[in-house]
Amino acid sequence: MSRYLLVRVLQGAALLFIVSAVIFLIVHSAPGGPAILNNPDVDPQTAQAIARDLGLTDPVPVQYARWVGRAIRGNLGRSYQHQIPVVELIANRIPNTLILAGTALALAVLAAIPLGVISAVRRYSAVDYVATVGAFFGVSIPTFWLGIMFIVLFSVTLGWLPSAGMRTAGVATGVGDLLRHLIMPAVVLSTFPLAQLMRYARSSMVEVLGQDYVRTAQAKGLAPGRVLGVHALRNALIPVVTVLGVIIPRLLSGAVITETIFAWPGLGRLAVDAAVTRDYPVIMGLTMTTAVLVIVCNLLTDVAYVSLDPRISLR
Amino acid sequence: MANRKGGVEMSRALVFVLVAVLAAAAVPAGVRAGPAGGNVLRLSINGDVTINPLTFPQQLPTTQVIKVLFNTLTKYNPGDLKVVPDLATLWTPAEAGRIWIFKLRRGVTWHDGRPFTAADVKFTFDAIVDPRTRALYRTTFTGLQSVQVIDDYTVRFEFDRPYPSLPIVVGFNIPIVPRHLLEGKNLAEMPEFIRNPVGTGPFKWKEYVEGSHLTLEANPNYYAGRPSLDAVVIKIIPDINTVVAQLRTGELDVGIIEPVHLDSLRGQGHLRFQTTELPSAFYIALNATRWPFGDRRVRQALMYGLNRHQIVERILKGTANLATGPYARAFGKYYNPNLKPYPYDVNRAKALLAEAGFRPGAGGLLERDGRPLSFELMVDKGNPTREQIALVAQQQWRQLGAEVKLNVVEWSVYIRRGNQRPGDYDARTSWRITSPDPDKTPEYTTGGTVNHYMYSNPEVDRLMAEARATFDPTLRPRLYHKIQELIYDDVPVLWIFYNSEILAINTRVQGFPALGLRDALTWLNLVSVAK
Amino acid sequence: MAQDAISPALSPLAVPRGRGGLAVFWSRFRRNRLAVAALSFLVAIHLVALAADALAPHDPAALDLLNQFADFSREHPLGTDEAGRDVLSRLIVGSRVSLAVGLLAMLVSVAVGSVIGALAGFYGRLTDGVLMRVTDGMLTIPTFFLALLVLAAFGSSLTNLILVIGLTGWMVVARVVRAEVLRTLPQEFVLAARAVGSSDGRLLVRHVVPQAWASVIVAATLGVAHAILVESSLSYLGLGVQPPTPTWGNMLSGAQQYVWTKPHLAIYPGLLIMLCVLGYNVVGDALRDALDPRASRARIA
Repeated sequence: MSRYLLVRVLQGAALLFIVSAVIFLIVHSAPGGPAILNNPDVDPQTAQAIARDLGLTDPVPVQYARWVGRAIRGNLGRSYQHQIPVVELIANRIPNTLILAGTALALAVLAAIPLGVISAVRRYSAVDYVATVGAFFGVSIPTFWLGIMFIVLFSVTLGWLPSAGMRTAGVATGVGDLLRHLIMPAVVLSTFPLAQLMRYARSSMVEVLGQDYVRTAQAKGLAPGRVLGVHALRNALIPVVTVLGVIIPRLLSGAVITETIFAWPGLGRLAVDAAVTRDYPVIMGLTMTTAVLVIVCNLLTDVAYVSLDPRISLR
Repeated sequence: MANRKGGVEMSRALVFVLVAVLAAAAVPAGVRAGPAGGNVLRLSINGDVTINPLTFPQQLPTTQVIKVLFNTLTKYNPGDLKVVPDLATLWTPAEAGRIWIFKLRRGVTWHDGRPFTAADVKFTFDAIVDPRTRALYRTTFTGLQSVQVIDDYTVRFEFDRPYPSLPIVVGFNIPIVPRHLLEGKNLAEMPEFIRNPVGTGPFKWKEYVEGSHLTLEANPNYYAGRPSLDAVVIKIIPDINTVVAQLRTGELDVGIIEPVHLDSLRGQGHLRFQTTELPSAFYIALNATRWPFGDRRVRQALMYGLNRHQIVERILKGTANLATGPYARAFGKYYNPNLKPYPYDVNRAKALLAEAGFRPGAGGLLERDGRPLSFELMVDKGNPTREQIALVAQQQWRQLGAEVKLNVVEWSVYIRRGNQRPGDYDARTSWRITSPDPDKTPEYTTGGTVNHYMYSNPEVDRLMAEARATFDPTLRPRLYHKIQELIYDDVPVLWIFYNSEILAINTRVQGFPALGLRDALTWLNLVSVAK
Repeated sequence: MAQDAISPALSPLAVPRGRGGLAVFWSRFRRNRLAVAALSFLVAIHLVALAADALAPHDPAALDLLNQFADFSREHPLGTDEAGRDVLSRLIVGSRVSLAVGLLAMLVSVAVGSVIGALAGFYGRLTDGVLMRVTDGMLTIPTFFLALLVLAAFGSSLTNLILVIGLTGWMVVARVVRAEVLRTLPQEFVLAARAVGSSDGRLLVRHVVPQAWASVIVAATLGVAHAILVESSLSYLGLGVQPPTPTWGNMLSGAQQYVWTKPHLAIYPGLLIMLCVLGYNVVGDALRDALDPRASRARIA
């Protein structure tokens, strides 16, 4: 187990290195350059001086080597736009994105698995039909459109929920306030993974229910609940856990849109701003952060995977 | 139900994953308390801020917040934009305006309690002209030779030539910064100051939650008395549709909206609208070094051939006035009221093009010397209003026999190609936001620093030089009126309208000044909200 | 894989072998009434897109500022938008751009994914290890962020958009093709071809890769759905196809401004995006069922 973990960590480090080099090359080879140099009010000499200060006049490999040298020591540089260390900038927002993405994931898992199981057990029933069609709609609706519709309906028309932000600004707030702000973005963000997980849960449950050992258990007269709980569900969850590994990067991508619509102060919004203003240190920092997040989550899912399926062991 | 029971007996491992995720989600988000109660004004900005009052990173939102936290030497009066005292109470020129003596307000304190003095003013201007500071508005003061402290409340400015516009210019984005906190520091980035900026303004820094909002609380020691608001909350909302939604729901008190949102917000009883014409014009720039824009008749023809009235009525919903030149009405007495906007006159346009030697050619395009009348129109990406205007121009000029190739480009490309002399474009949509200073030497004189269109008229050069050195209160406006007439005939760029800003304001807000948002923010001490 | 698929592939896919394989496949597919409806819709919308120029009653870029937000009429069956452009014409011409982005991006994905998957599966060992690590790595990056970055940096021309969406979506195909190649290699006809001295290239192109087409088609179908959705999301952030070219994505994103007063302007393109994506998802899912040798039992319809 520990050897396995070591290998995974080394693989992750190699991956980070490659990803950083590729992204660095892409952003630095683009025409235009950072927005701070493209301000109509900045005269050309000043722009040139700023570029020199930031080391942007050096060859790209030199810049990359310098970036790696600092990054290894935990220094991701300073944001051009925010003028504070990137580490601090990201640390301020990570919790917000984790709250949003974590809640969305929890919603998706908690709703998808029971729904998938019911659909599988009651195959071709009205429940199954509605869930299936619902799932297809869930993966087909453009996220931003759903978000805007939610704001129009629940904030403006019905007045039930705040339209944006993470808490009521400027007044003392508690957890209840946070939850009220969280509902809409979390539901919107959970739509896609919910639908996808539901289908996976259903498919693998259908598969497992057809297996001989489940039939045998049924034939032996075990209570239906026990058959489902002990034998079927456990095995049905294995592919579902696998797919989580792919859903997590997707959630982070979805957060970009969701955070923009709902003015949620997370990494996604920071990513859009950094991309548009070419804030190189922030772009690099975010790339590294999301890659680490995803690698860690994948590792966790793998551990869960093993715990679910005793036939697989980590070596 | 059987399957529900199955769901309850969820595998321990899955529970583990969920617990891990939820634990991550439960990291405290820093729920902090703000001022309680409703005596708070809620505004919005479209992005994060970095409060460096010299370099203005993240320019627009930073500028807006700085207006509330800091003061300038002068500011602009609601309604007429007249220059009125702020940190300076009196200013007198000497040597025909080459030297200025500013008397400063007494009894002003910084938010940290230290007194404001002439040393702060000297420090600010010395910092701006120092190239190492990378100050955003450095070029405004290139002629500044020295700033002297005469006594604690008197400062003497000396320029290399007369600068009659100085009192106007210092009111525009030149906040005075505290010397005691910044002396000897890195002024280009101010890593410490931006975390806890200290100004002299009516509200002081309280809390900044990045990506979410800022809270600025009333400064009880403000020189004009304690503001009636307890605090100003400035929310960071990137999507203008969310701003519109929050104005509707009453979650925001004041917001800048686009003309297209007027219809959606009209009929909301709790909102009123305030439209303010800014000292700024929107235009299509023509590069005189590109064929055939060196020919005045061609430029005039494009002006006659563009139905600008329709653009203003239909795209801007009648919220702006047609422009006659670079001087908007907001320039007050310097605006020449005798000029009338070019009429929409297709026949006149066609006649001018014929006079310029253009004849019908292949594909319905006009041509001269075998070269078809075809050019690129560059538009910055992402603004529906500007895109529509460009589309209208394309369509209407096609009626004249001119082909317009639209090129919608990234902002960085737009700036890089546009802001050089000569600009690397045939034509582009453009606008400039300046102080109400009538001196347009950089933009409309031969070799001017922002004269990207390469406009050149020796008579304009001469008058501009004369006007910028003239104090005579009757002669100066006359000179600028004459300049406008010359520019009007030359049509170096195609002015379309004077930019207006539409504010939607909640009716609970009282005393909101009749100014565009940026200038209004310097008067927030007078604003109150109904309980 | 999961990035696009709404439900998992449980086993390798193949058209039933032997005579009438296609007929068997079709008879299976036809049983899924939802899928047949979806397929009919897709065929119809693609025909519309192909004939867009002939079908559009007006020039989709023609502005008419005197006729903004016109109601439904004979002249403008779906009314006009904020610039007086004919909404129906824009939807029709927009369909071509949106679907072209979806299909071409999918082709890029399939091309890249097939090559990588085939090489990895065929050569195994180090090649496989490296290529599959690259594939895993790509699955690890939130690809939407990557797309955003590249488009913000290099500009969102139609070509860039197609390349970016395609190059961030090939991993599914690579995995599928690799799996199929690994399954095919030990089979007799491949061994036979090898025995008579076929070159590696010939072997791959003539014998091995063709075996994967069923799985690739499923992945490709779902890939189109994915690409159309990504284009609309990028449009929301202002990084989609630029005006005046209409796409469903930029029409929808532009209509946001009028969501309070003219909601129908947003409903049409939104509905079309959703229906097309839905169609591709349903058909992809049904194809998988019909091609899955073990899934002979009828699915719901």
